[in-house]
Amino acid sequence: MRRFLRDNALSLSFGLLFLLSLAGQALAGLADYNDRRLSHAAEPIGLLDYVTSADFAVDVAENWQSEYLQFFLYVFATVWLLQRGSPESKPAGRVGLETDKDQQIGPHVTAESPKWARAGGWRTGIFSVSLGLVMLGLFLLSWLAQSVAGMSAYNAEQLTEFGDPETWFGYLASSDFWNRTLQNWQSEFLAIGSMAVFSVYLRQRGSPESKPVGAPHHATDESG
Amino acid sequence: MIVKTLAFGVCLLLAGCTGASGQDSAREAAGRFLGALASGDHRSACVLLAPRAQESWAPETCERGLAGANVPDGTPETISVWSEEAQVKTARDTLFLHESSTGWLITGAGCRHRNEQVYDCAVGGP
Repeated sequence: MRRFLRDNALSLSFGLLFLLSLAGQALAGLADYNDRRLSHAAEPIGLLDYVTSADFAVDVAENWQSEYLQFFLYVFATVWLLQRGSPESKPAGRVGLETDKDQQIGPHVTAESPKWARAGGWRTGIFSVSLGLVMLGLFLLSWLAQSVAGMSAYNAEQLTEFGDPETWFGYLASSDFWNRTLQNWQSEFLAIGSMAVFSVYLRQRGSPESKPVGAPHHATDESG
Repeated sequence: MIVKTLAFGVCLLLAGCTGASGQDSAREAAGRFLGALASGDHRSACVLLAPRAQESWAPETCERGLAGANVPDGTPETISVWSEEAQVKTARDTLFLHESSTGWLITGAGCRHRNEQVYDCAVGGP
């Protein structure tokens, strides 16, 4: 048990932080939502009604989609784009998909290679991009969920304010949908871009996200 | 069809959408309100108004206010329900409703477009 906790401390810690943050968001969101309902003389709702509401769903989904978009783009972009001196980047000579030898596939598989890496053909082809594909799939699903839940929350608000509801396609063209979407995207792109640059010149001793403290600024593809 | 199927699937996961039962009860409430007005039963119509709409005539009584309000006759034709809010259209009118703990109540009636965005209503208001 202790070994399991030690070997999985990173994922378990962030899983716990996720659940605590989600619970906190639910409580704070409920208080905010009920404040807004009072301004329209509507009765307050309970926590269960709130966490199953479109208002909560759209607030959750809009953040999820941007996080998965961030990782999808980062996984794909770092195949082709370099940042000299960043431990997140490959060195200049390895731009692109790299050789079968580098990737340990084809005749270079080992006995410990994953089953689909050893299988060859379409299975190895899919497995070779499975990380990015899953991130892309989760991004698209989260974005779809944001659009549907966002439309529901937006239309309820429209009717409260004595306006007309929108169709799904109408909502996709609305300022509400793109404001929610782009305010999340810009923060993710800023975080990725600044991390790529900061990691060239700054260090975090012991972190694999950083180069060794004594590594030169121009050294690329090192971590410590 | 694809959009409706997707929307239904996501709604099942995320909730926040109202099904046919919500539409039926909102339609019924709007029909009862319009029927009471058409028969001159303003007392019954007032019971179906949300408190905020009733209070809009203060210090006049709700019944007297409704008697002087321009709400066209009609029967509910199209209805749109989102969460606890609904919009009902007749041939000549648009009504807005809110679902309270006691059922659907009229928050606006005799509503006409002020501009592309919002309506002005003879009864109630946002």
